[in-house]
Amino acid sequence: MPANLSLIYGCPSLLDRLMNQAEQYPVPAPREARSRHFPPLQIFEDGETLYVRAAIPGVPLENVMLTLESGTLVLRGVIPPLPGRHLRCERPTGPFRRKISLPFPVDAASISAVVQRGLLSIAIPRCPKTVKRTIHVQTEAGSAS
Amino acid sequence: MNEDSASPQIRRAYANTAEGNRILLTTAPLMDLVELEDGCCLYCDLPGVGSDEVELTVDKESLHIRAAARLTPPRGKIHALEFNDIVYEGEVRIPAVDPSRVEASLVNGLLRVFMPFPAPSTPVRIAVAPR
Repeated sequence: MPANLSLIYGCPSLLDRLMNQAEQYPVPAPREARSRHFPPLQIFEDGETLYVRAAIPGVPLENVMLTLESGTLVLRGVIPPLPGRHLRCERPTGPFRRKISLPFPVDAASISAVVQRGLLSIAIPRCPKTVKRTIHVQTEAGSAS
Repeated sequence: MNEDSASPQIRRAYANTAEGNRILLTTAPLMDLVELEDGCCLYCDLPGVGSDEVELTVDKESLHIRAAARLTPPRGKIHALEFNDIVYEGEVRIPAVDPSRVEASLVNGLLRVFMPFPAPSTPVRIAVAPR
């Protein structure tokens, strides 16, 4: 059976066609920020306060929500997509969430957060030590008297 | 980082790092390039970088970014360290733009570089001198 030479000789034009098609392929969709490891964190403490820093460049503070759920700090937020035709697309977009287990009881009312240079810095003060208090239990006879 | 070729801004940021003389991790920053009606816009994630710590160069075909960030935790016991002091270095190929009208701003760790397309050339009539 004779070999189909047209396939071999047609290779250069076939490659050209494929290359032209490759240029027309759409740019991949923006990477979702829904990864378990986004945003990257730094967690450190100085004994009295736990500090959490998250790298969220370009995300305003109003797009970020912090909640404290039974000893766990939950960081939620959204990176809005950019308008226009993407020629290159590497930055993550969409909603993100990270959970941070707190190593000690904290004073929820004193938690503060600030965004600067694309870094969200959260300061979480340790809960003041509880003072021991003795409660006297009165007997029925004692309360009646 | 090649210190000899670094600009004064990058050298200053480099010297401000915790130990000053250690080798920093160099990584390519994450970038989006978006085509708009009147030009192209580059968005680049540079967390921890101030506007005086970034260096931009643009030529006919590419845009080059170099920046440094000091991100070492300042004190205490460390529980998690998923990022640290870093040097960002990246290059992106760009369409034909007018390099003289490129505008850049760095807000909240996000670098935005707007590169307008060159003005369309208008045909010029050339008089032919009689011999």
